[in-house]
Amino acid sequence: MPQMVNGCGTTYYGKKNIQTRSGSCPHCGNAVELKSYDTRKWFVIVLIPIIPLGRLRIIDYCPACSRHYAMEADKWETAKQLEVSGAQEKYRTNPTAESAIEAHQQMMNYHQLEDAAAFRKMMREKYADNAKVHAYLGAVLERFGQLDEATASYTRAFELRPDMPDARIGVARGHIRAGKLTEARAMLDFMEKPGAGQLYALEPLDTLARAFQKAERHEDALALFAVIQKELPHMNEQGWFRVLIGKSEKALKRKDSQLPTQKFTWKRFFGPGNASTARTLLFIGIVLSVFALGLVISNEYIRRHRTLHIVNASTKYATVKISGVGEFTNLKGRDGVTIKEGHYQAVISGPVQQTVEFEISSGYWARWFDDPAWVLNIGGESILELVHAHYKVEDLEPPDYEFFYGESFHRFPEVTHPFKELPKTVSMKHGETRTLVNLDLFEGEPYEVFYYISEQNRMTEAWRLAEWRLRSHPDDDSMLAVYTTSAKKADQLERVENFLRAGLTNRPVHIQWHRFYQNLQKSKTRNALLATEYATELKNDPTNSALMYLLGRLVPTRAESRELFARACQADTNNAFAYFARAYDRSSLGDWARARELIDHACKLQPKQDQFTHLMHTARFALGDFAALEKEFRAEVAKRPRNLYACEKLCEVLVAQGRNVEATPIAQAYEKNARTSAHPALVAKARDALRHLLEITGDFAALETETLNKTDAESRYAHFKSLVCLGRVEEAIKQFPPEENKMNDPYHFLNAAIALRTAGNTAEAKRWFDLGLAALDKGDGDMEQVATMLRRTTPPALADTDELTQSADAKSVTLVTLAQLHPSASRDYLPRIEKLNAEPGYQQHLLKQAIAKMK
Amino acid sequence: MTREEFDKLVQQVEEGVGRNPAALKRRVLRLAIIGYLGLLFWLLVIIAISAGFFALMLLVDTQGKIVCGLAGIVILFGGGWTALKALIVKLPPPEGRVVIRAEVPELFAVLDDLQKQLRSVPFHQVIIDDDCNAAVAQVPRLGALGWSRNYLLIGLPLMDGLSRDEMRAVLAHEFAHLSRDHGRFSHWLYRLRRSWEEIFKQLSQPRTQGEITGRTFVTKYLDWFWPKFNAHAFVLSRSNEYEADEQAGRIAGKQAMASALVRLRFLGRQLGDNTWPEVWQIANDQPTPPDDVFVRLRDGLRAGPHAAERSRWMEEAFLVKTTNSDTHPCLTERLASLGIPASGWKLDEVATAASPSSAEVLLGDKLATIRADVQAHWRKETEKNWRDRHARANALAHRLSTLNQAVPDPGADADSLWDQAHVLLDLKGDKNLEPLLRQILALKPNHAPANFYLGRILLDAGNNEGETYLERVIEEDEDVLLQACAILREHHRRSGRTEKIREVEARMDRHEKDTAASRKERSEFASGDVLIPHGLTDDELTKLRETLAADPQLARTELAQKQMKFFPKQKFYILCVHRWQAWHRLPNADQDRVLVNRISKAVQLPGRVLVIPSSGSYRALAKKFQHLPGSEIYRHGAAK
Repeated sequence: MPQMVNGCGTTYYGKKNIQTRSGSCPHCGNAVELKSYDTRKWFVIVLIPIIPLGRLRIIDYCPACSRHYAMEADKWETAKQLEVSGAQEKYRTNPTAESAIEAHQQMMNYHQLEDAAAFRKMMREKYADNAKVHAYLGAVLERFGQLDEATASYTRAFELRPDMPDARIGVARGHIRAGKLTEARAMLDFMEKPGAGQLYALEPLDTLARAFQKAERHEDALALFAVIQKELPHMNEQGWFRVLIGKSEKALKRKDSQLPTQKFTWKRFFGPGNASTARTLLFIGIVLSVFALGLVISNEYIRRHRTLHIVNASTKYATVKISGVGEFTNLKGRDGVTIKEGHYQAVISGPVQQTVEFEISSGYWARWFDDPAWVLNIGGESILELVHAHYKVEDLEPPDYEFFYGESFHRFPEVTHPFKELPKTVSMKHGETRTLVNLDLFEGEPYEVFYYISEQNRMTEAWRLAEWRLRSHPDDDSMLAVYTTSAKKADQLERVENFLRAGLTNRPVHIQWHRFYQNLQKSKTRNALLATEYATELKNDPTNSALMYLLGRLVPTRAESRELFARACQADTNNAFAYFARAYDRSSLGDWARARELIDHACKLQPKQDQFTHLMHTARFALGDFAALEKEFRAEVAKRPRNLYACEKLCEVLVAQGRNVEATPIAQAYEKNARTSAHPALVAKARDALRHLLEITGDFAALETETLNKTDAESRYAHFKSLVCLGRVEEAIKQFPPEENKMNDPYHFLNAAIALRTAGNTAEAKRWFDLGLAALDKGDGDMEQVATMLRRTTPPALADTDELTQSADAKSVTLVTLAQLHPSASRDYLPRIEKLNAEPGYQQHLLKQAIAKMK
Repeated sequence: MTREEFDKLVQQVEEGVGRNPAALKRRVLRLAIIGYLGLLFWLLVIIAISAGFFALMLLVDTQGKIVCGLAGIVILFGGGWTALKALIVKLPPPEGRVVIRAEVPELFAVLDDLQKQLRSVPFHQVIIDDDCNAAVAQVPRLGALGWSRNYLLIGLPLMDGLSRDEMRAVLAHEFAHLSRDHGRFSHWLYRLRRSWEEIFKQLSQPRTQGEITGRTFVTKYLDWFWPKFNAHAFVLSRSNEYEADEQAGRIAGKQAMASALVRLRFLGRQLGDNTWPEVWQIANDQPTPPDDVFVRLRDGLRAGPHAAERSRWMEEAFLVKTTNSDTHPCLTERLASLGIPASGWKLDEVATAASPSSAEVLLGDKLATIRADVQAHWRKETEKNWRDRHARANALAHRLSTLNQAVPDPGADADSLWDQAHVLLDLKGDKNLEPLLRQILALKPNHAPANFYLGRILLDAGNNEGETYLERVIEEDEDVLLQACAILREHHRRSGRTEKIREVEARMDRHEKDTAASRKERSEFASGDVLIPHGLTDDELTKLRETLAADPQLARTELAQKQMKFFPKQKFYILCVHRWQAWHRLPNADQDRVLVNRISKAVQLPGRVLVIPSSGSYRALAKKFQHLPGSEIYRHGAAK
């Protein structure tokens, strides 16, 4: 039979010389039209015939089960001609009934049905009185499904020789088909005689018994079954035969069965036990045994060839000595060591000195089916990223990420791609889902993992990660930032306080660690306590620049601070934060030139500190270093077109030079780039550069249009700002009321108050001013100082305002507010305000309007 | 291997290693071991695989050790048991009436004497059974490990037939087998043969669908091993017989041994041809066996055969020659080896049972009890067969009665007569069937079964006319050749016609060897076959040309015969047809086939006919006609 899988394999093509006959399929037993024909067998690929494999004669193809016999067409043709002509010749030379039967038989065998029919006609005439010939014809016609003709032949045979068993059986079969069961039984009476089973095959009796059963004549059926039981006792062991008898006995509701009790034997469960089956089973058993042996060997091979992945995140090379295996040197990044399963001790030297006990093992059966991975994580330093990628034809699912860190040894039960990239595409069937698991070193910054985990609201895990990271990397500023920020938001100040506090005594002093600790809460009391502590420390270590700087951040007066910052710089010219503190101080006084000198030094020491670079940019902008800034920002934008900060700064520089037209394409290019990003947040902020450009160019009408009817918080705030600058403050505060938005920036309220006063709405200005004060009160000690100063009924001297610790833009707001509250002193403030109001944008425009009004 | 080749091999062994009995025994032992290795092939494979698992246990971890150990044990015991099953031939302990020393002291006195004289190992049990034979049986208590129990089996009919001295000689012969350790070794060989016979039996079964088998490998191994082993074992067994006869003659007297051998011929034949068939005829009427079967047997032996049979059997007994179909030498040779002449035996003395019989003398007053016990044992063993036979006889009788009622004049119809004869053959045996068979053959001289049975009946009766009938049936139906030849060979053996036996066996060999090839020769045409001129008469050729001319598409025809090797009388014609085709048309295989189909139905020749087209796969064959002058018998233009 031809075999095809997915359109590839062998098949028949073409049908010629078709002959059909009615009959029962020898394979499935169905009464069907059996078809014989010539065809050609082909080797096909995607149903396309490629290689012809010969012409075949298909014999008795069954349309029900498709089974058939096949023979080479030429061999069939040769055999047909020779056998038929041979039998015919034999008949011609010896025209006896026997040779006629043989000739006819050959014609039927080779499906020469027409010739056979003609020959049969001749036989009937010539051997009209030969019962044997008629009985033969009956049998052959019955086999070929010509039942009426068969019955007629049997009947004729019976007329001639009523004793002939074949004739009686044939006539009986005809009666059974016609439903004349009593007549059939009479015909088969000779089979009911004792000993008949030794002379005749009792299959007709079985057929008749089944016919009786079907006709609900169960007594008759059981009588015939009893004959079969007596003649062929082994039938009592046949399940199907017992079922037949049981059926009739059940129908008659007989209590006692005519079946003998079946003795229990195990053999019944193991089939007929014929020798060929046993031989086949033995052969299969041996093949399976060899296969099993191969599997066991493969299992042992797997056991002896396990890979231990050694990961080392440190910049130093590590040496690992594994007991009973050997020493592995110069390990960095990831390395693999092949070892057999077992218990080991690894002695690690290099970045850490560590001894790790570990076990490489898996279940016996799991070796074939599972893909475990074992990782020796030197010092627990590496973050391992486990990615479950789900491959589907449709409905793409994002992968699941898990991160492992901190442990020296990890066992992963299922990793299909250990330290190997996952395939981009996988061939799958429709509807199939496959999950591949990748284990790799996490190449990004640890705080990104913190973000990922915290986005899934697994905060405890995120803090655990942060604390693990900070313990080993206290200088990881990014992690410090996200850790303290998230903890504050989640009201976990105590946890962070405790954690950071524990690290305060570490030496050398990690300034950022202390800064974040100090920034956690900025109450006067706490600052005073902390200042005492730092003072004590400084007493013990009087030349410690970091301690001087940190104490400078806590002392109550700016003068003390300035003195400590200056000492810190003197004590250690590499203390970038001390320089930054002094630059910050100078910038809040509007002394941009000195500020730039100081921050320049700080930036050289720590160029990656964002706050340093921002102050540096502001200072240079204030000093009009546009050409250099433009060059730098253009280079950054070219390098990273989606860097919003660089784009905005470049626009600011261009606008400051009056080259507004050149700024627009920069903002548009940013938007275009942002829109192609896969990150939704970036796409949402695609127009931010353009909005910023409108803000810095003072085109608030366009900004109003741009943000009109936008419902997101940022658009609404931008809309608010455009209305304020267009002089429609009342409209602005109606659309963006303080109760609705959750903005808690005191300078937002103070700016609104400034705008309202400028617009002459003193009452409303008072309300917004109070909101601003309240927000300042909630802030740190520096803010409290600002609030106190704003509450003064008498105008403070400009020198007093120098005591405030504020950024330049915040201080400019404070000073404008004071100028509005105390118009008498405004003349003193205005020159300073003009120096401080250097950062372009909404606030710069607003303050300029207010100053203009005051002038 | 053919019979002739086997005979030659036996002769080679006899003339070679057979001259040295010890060397022959060693050779047989070596071959037997090779035979066992062949039988143990699968077992060795299984042991190797399980050894692989056990070896792995030394390398793997604990879980692996458990898995390997379990797998090794399962494979070793499961697979080993399956493989061993083919090898284990169970020899059940012989059954019969056990007699003890106190019961039959005379018999044991004889046995003790023989054991002493022949320094034989003692028998653990002496059993009287229903056979007309005496034998030694050694049944291992521990299967393949040995530790045999020795049994002496003495048939009651044998004791009824032989005198005390003759019986003593026969027992001495059996003791000799045991004393020389023939028994144990021959039993071992017997078990090996039985194992192989089991395999032969399986190999002879048709392949079942999906069966995985190493038949080709096994058959090749057997073709090499089996004749070699059989020939050597055969020569060894025969040499054992001579040796045992010689020992028995020395102890019990050569005359007694010779007398026993001669009388045994009559006793065996009387029982086989007359008494037992008569007993079984009773089964036609009685549903249970009679209670006096062994009395009837004794009486039958005492009465002996009819006078005509006596002289014929006597004549045949001495005419029979030694053949390689039986390990026992012929009577003449056995007597000659004892130094006793083959002539001078008095029919009345040896054709009937001796008086007093050894049963009467050796079993004494316990004879009646023992006979009753043997009868009871036989009855128990035979009861089912007896019942079946009775039932079959009933059915046959019914069939016979319906036949007689249904056919108004059975004498006019050969088929009806044969049906009757067939039933009678089964019901009443060969006897009295000769007239009916002759009646059938008068109506239908070529009636194959009638010829076969008549030939057999006549030859059994010593009538050489039977040969004619058997020859006729062989000519009619080659399928019965082997059966007919077997009857002829037995007839020639009894008649002492060695040459005829060789002829018949050569014929059987030829038939066995050539049947498949000759069937193939008649049913296909190979490229190596040779074509010869067709040899048709002018009339046949004219008639054929007329038939061919009726087909308008036929352009040219060539005719030849295939040269037959095996059955040269049978004719195999090949008719090559060339279809009329315009020069600008491409060949068309389908139309060629249609033409072939048409012509093959129309043509009638005195033999098998294969019509082929000149194209396609028959092209090479069609080209052969070009080299055969006169093969072209028809051309379209010429016909017109």
